[in-house]
Amino acid sequence: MHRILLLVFCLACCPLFVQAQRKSPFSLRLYGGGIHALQALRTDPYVSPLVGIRQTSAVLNMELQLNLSPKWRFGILVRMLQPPHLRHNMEAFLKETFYQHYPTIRFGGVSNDKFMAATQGYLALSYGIIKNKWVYRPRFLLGISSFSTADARIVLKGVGNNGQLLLFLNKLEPGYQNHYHETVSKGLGVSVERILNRRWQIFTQLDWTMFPNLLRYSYRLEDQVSGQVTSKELEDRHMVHQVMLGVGIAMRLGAVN
Amino acid sequence: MKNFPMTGLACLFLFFTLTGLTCEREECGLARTAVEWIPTSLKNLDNRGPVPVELSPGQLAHRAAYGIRFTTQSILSEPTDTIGFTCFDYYLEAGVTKVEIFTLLDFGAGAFNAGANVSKLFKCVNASTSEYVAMDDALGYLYPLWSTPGTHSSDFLLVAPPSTTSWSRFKLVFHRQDSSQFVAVTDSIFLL
Repeated sequence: MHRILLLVFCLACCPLFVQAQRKSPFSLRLYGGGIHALQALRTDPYVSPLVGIRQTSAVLNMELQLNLSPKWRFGILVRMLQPPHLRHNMEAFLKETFYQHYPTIRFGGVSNDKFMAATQGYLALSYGIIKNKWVYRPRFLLGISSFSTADARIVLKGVGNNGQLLLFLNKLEPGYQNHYHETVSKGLGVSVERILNRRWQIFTQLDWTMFPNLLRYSYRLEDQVSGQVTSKELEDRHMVHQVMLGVGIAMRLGAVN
Repeated sequence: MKNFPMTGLACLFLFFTLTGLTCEREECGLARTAVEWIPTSLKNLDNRGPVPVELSPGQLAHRAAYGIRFTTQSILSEPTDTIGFTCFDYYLEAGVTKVEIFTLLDFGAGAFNAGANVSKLFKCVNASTSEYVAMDDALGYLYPLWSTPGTHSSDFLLVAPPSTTSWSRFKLVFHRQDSSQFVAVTDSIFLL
């Protein structure tokens, strides 16, 4: 999904630079900052390391805006979030929970034990309140959040003995065996922009977005010596609220005079 | 006549392709490769750490983390590559039909007398997945392993340790298809 979003964004941008000699209704905004989920995507500790989105991460935004009128703007926003460290996080969790075992982990659904960057794509509609060289711009966002998920097969060998546990954590529907999870996302935002000249602006952006957590995982713990098996489904449905704060620059495309 | 060269080429291509495929299949079928199975060593193991460690004779072992490592060498007993391609269809010349473990000393505070079959107290470790396999099902894993040329180590771990310390010694018996048996005996070891 994130590749498609990037492709759409790039294709949308290309003709704009070709028309640089003419007046253009488009602006390009680039901004970076941090994003924080008010509640972690997964509260279940077994599954949290297997979800490719951090509770707090650096974020990079690219936005193409179309000036519909002097006050109204429509934007296409692509946001990339720093992915978490899959192996490190899972090992840290296992070290804490199964401290009497040596873990050997095999992940499924990811290559080289690494998550791809989580991506969010939004359509944004904003309205500008202009005061001298300052613009206050509230906006509404609607889009898609997508992120990687992984499966895990963990061998837990007993410390000082021949005991051994096998732990399987596998993603269930929706998107069974599809390790890129996508969900509808919406939100509100506001930016405070300072107009430097006809082409350039600097601004700070605050967005509050939310998406539903629909992830379900199966948990299976097998004692290799006694043969005892414990199975359950790990589900924790809730809305994930994220707050993004960033600063950046905006550039008006095309001729400005 | 105009299309003769092209048609001729197509026929030649078809002929060589079909005959080539047929030859390869037949030769592979004939060249099914026999593998000879040579047991090389049997060692006591200490499995307290993340991976089992082989013990030298005279070293002590912990009964909760004791194991046996059986190493074999599988070598090709026939040449395979005769006409420029290799067939990877291997089979053991005299396959193993059963693996059993016996104790040579009284074991488990009188629970097992010397000579008793203690296979149920052990599990075989599948080296590729690290999973434990019951001794009754171990050949399902071991046979394909031993049929592949190379050196292979198979670990058998004691998963039902005795309640008391004792001297122990085990015998592995491999029953083969030709009704012969291969017997390997561990060094005596004191299980703490």
